[in-house]
Amino acid sequence: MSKQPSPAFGIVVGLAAAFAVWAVLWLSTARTDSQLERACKALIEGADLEEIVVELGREGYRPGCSLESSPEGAPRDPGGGLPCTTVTVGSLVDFPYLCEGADCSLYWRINDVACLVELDAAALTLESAAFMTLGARAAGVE
Amino acid sequence: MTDPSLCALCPRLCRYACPVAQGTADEGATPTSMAQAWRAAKAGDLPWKAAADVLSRCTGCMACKAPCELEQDVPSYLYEARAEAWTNGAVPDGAALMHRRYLDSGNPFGADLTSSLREHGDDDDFERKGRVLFWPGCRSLHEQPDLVAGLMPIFRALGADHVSLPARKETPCCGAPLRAIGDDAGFQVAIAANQQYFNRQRTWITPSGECLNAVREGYPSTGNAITAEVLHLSEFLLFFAEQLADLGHAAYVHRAENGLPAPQVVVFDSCGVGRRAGRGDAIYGVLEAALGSAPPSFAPSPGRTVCCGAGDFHDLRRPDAAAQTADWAAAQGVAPPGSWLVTTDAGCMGSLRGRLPGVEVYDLVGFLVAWLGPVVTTGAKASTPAPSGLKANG
Repeated sequence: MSKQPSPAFGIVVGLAAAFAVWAVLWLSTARTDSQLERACKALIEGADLEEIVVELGREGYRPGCSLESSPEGAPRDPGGGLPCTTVTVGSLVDFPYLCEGADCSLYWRINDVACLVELDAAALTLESAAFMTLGARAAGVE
Repeated sequence: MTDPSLCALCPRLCRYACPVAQGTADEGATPTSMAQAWRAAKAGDLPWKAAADVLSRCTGCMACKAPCELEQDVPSYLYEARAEAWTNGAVPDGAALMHRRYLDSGNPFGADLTSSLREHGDDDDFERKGRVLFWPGCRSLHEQPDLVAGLMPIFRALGADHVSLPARKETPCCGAPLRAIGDDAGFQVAIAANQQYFNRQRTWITPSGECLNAVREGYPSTGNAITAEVLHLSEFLLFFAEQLADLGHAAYVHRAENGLPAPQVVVFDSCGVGRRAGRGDAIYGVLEAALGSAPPSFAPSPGRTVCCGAGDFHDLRRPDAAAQTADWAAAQGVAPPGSWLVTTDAGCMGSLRGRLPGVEVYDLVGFLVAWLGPVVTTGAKASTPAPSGLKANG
């Protein structure tokens, strides 16, 4: 007669599995958070904008402007604001971003951290960057 | 902590405090009835369409909070309840109409608000000179674009020349109307359109209680906090109290020279700015600076706001009930004929106009333009230098 596994063993295994899933999810979130934080702080310290934009890519990127054509099935845009300006940066083709006159900016947001990059519209170079923990004080340089 | 079941099982202890229930004699407008409708719909005992109709009867004024021993935040759970009704396809007719207009025009009025503001403003008003954005809110843009533009020269005369209007080809709403009707996905889209723009500012100011609360509590509730300093217009103007006093004195002189008496001003403490946002005191400081003495409140007792019936766009969603609520509100206080009634929230202007005989109804924008505008157009500027070191400065 085979021995039945004890209920306590099942509970322990179940909890361990749940913990493992949670840990994987937590680590992946923490990785993207810290990647954004590292990239944004590198920009503040004078890193090359193009490299950072290419590195960060579109993950967490929020153009904050109205794309003329939305892909089918995308959420509708009841008041999208200004039309997007687009640029091709390295491997990123037609990268959309927000300009208000000569003031342009790029904005990334992953979970509770955000990076706001202000650009010189003509030269497409960094004017300032701010790393923000939303709900807390923003830190940055001008 | 909010638990709607507590309201559903409460014997309507807050009934007398609910302005909609009082103004419309509608028991269905009480928090108890709304919570019961939500519970019944969740349990499958009431069609969602019927529940959505009941859930739409609140203005979010929070008058029910004071007499509630259990400190229930009724507006917050109603947003959740309406969103659940929305996802079940239940949208009251008034909300559906407002939503359709929003989709067509980007605002709940179905009007071209961007053009109307641009017609009245100067190019300089839209130029970004500092990082202080004056966000009028779509209701002000609809009801008084001329006065919104007319406030800009007053900002400059006060020394707040770094304030700019939204420089956008499409002037959007903050999304408050979508939040009010439970369209969470639409509200998220509006936030996505605005968040970067707002976070580029150091200070974001509005005369609208609806936008103030949407940005102050609604954006963070969806995980989209705004890092800019979020202020009601009155809070921002308090930084310029001395300059307001300079211009206010000049306004008295100007009116006297033109044979006009000084107006008697009464404050209508709107719920959205006072009870809801907890920022209702600043307007008294602003008006005291501009007038030389603190004005009385329309409310029967200090700190007790009176709901005008328009909160959470109730006047667009349920115009008849909102009108009855406004009638009730107008009967709750005293504003003598010939006086100026200044509402803290731009949302209350339309509701109160015409309901108090002989009384001019303004919001803070309208008051400033009416009181200081004539003297500013003569070229007057505040003689006291603008305060330095403000976060508000460029």
